[in-house]
Amino acid sequence: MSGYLPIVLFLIVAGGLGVVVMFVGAIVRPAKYEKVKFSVYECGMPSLDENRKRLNLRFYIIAMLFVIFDVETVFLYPWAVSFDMIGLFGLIEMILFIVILVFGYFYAWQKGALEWA
Amino acid sequence: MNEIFMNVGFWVLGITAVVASLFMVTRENPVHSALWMLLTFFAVAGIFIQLDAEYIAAIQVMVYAGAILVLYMFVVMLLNPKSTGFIKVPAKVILGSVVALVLFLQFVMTLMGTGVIKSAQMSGMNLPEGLSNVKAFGAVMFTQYIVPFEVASILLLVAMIGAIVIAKKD
Amino acid sequence: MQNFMMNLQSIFPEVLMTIFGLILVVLDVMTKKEKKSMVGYFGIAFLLITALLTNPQVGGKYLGFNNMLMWDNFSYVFFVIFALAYTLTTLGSVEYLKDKGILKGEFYTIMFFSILGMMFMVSAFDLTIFYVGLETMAIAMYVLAGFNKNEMRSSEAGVKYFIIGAFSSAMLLFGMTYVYGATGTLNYLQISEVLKSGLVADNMTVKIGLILMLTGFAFKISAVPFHMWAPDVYQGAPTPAAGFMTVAPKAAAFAALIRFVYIALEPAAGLWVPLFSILAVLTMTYGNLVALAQTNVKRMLAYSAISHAGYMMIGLVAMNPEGYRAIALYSLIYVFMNIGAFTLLGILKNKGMVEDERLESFAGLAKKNPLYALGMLIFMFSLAGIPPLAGFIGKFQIFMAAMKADMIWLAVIGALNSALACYYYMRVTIYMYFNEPEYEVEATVGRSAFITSFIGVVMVLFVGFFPTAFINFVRHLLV
Repeated sequence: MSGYLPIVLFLIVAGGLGVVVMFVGAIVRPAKYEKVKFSVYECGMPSLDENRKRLNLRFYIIAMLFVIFDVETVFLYPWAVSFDMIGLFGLIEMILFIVILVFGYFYAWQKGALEWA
Repeated sequence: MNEIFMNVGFWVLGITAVVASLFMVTRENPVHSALWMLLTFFAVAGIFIQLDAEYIAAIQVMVYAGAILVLYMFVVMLLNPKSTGFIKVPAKVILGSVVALVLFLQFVMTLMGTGVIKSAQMSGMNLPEGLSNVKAFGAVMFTQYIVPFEVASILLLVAMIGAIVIAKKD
Repeated sequence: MQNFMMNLQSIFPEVLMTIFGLILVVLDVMTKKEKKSMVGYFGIAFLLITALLTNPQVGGKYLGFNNMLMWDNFSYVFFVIFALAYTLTTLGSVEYLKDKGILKGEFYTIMFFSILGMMFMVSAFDLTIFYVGLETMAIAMYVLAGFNKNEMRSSEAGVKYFIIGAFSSAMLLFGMTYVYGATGTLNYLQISEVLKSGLVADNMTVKIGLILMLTGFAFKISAVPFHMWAPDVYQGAPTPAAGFMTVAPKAAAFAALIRFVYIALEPAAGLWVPLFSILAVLTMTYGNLVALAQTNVKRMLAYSAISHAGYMMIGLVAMNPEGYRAIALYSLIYVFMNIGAFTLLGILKNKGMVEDERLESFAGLAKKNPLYALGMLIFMFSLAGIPPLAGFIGKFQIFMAAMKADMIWLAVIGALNSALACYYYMRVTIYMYFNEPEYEVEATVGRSAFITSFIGVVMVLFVGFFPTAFINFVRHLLV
């Protein structure tokens, strides 16, 4: 548990640094207000429509596949850590696990779920 | 000293989690909600670390804060919902929530009586000698619980096929 | 080595099914767009092979993986029930799916994998395996419910089922954590031992855990008052999928529940028997009463499915082997009559009206399609439990089990309920035989739908007249 002390300290220092920089900056920098500075965006055109447009449905499939393969990674992590204890048996297990998922990958590929055009 | 340190950590993380989740459900802009959710996930991950459950904390960050949040953001941007202010809550919903609250309090009171909450300690998991948390978990999971592990891959396969067949345009 | 063989034997059927399922995925990718029904037919063949290869002899028990997975007669009988449900649904679905423009191989692949999940649920002797199996089945069911994405109703059914399903799974999981926390184990046999020894740290924790778990189960078998999702989901889902969903997942949930309560909770019978008795009465009565008021036949069948779950719960609380044998028999019979009824319902089409399944659509069908009307009549009579059809045999066995357990009041309530149910089943037949049609209805029975309903009718009659063969099939079941 005490191994996390550096991380906590790091977080505190990092957060504190951000706050300090912000406030010191506000005090030190010169403040000259102009009309242009208050416009929405200082360079380029004013935006014509909303900045958030509806995304394509394909992004959803990509995100879903990402979630699924991410869960797979979550299983890989303790497997890798405990590999010296489970040995060859564990290797075979993990190969089976991945082979079953590869069928899903194959399916997604063949059905064109990964294609963009 | 360590005790005080742990307690302070717990309260900071706990309050962050509760406040962030309250902000999450009350924001009008769904993207802001998602960002508050991210903060909730991190705070909860911190609490898991305090409980010596590093693996669950890792899952919390990798799967929830990483993948699931991305999925949420994509869905939000896909639907692009326009907020029209808060929905007017009908009276029966208020009645329902009162009943739910009473039931919840009763549940908590029963739990207080059982000693589950009392006996919960901030740390002190009994791990086998010389094994880290994740390692002990892996050793059990890949020897004793190999069947659920392999079935999980089938579960993921079904989820993958299902998501594609539901979402893909044909 | 001995150990290894035992492990292999206990998981062999599931391994076989996994391999076949993966082959189905590949087949689905390979086949042409118009020939997707081939995937389903291959699935039937695979199930047949598995059923032939994995039949354990009477009394054969293969318990492997540290007492976590069991393959015995009980698992096998329920596997046969799922396989029959798959077969009949597949045969009956081809024309419906083609007609709606959603004939895809995934329909069959996902249904196949859902059976794999159900097998794990039934064979599990450990809560982890049970839970992953349950989730595999549940995700497959959400997809099937929302399979027709061109239709709002179907998408709504999918989303509704998903939200309620995830909620109830979470409840189940939450309860499991309490049971694990109090007993220190997830294995059914060990939970039973701990409960028996009275060494549980504190009783209240176990009770809370069990109540949460049983609530989760009640959601899955759509017991009143945890049934709210069922009518909308069954009505919205594509008709063949709805037929499958009312039969197979319910049978699986019942089988898993039987395993869990009869083995793990046997020492705690005082807790769950009264709970499920009350739920059984509520489920039967509510399902039947609300079904009376329905004007849409699909929705009516959804409510009738709820009430049938109530009858099956009587077998559960009887707490004797006759009880669960009766549930197995009932599920088997229910496969034939309910999927048959849903298949016939699926081919009914009216021109221009909004809902195809309105009660008025059935008016005067007996003159126009006498065969269709006759098939529907037999299914309705069987669902109502009129002797000598199959439904009667199933109900009779259930009530006998209750009588044997000295729960005569439950049997009486069940019998009264089935009298009540006659009214709404009869109403369909009365519309078919005695009313004049109000509008044009089309009910052309295609080849595959004909085969399904024919098998259904024949089996319903067969079980009705020669019940012994089927009673023998489940007679040796032991949990």
